[in-house]
Amino acid sequence: MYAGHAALALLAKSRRRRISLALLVPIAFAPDWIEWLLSSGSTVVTDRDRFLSHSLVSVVPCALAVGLLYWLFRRGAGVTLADAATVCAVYLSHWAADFITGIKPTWSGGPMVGLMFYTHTWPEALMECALVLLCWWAYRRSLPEASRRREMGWVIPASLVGLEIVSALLQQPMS
Amino acid sequence: MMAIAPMGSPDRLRWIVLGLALVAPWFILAYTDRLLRRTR
Repeated sequence: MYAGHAALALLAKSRRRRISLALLVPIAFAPDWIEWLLSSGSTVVTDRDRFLSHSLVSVVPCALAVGLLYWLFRRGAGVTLADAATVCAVYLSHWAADFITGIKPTWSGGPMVGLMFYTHTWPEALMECALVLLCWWAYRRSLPEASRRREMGWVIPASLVGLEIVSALLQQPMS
Repeated sequence: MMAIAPMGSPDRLRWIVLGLALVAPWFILAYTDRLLRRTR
C-alpha cells in the first residue's frame, strides 16, 4: 500500500487533533522508512531488510515503543494515553494495510501472509484512492469551519491520488 | 556481503525515487495541514 498509509494518518488526525500530522505520516510509513534505510546503498532489498522492517515481530514492538515514547515525551504537553495508543495503532495499521495489498513476514520461520491485491494493479489503486477520499472527508470534517472552505484543502486528496496513480503507472508499488 | 550500487546506477536511482516517494506525502500533508489550521 502507498497513498493508503497517508490516508490512515489523516483518519487518525481527524480523531485526535492534538497529534501532529507531521508525526502521524512518517509513523504510518515507518516500516517502509526502516526498509529504505536498511537497503541504503545496496542493490536489492533483502529478505533480512524486509523481515526487520515489516514482520510482525518488528512491527508490534516498534509500534508499542513509538506509542510509549510519544506519551513519555509529550505528556507534559497534555498528550493522553489515548493519543499514545492512536500513534501506536497508526504504526500497526501499516502491517494490516500491507496484508491486504501484499504479502508480509510474520515471525522467524513463520509464514508469509497476505491477500496480494497488488496483482490487480488498477483495482488496487482505485481502492487506495477511495480510501484517500474517505479519510480526507473525515479529516476535512475535523477542520475549523473557515478552513473547510479553503480551496487549499483539495491539495491533499489531489496530491495523494496523483501519487497513487504514478505509483501504479510505474508498477513498482510500495510494499 | 551486500553489493553496493554505484552512484548513478539504476539501483541507486530507484533507491532515491523510493526515498522521494516517502518524503512527498509527509511534506504535502504536514505543510498543507499547517496552512489550513493557521488562522487568518
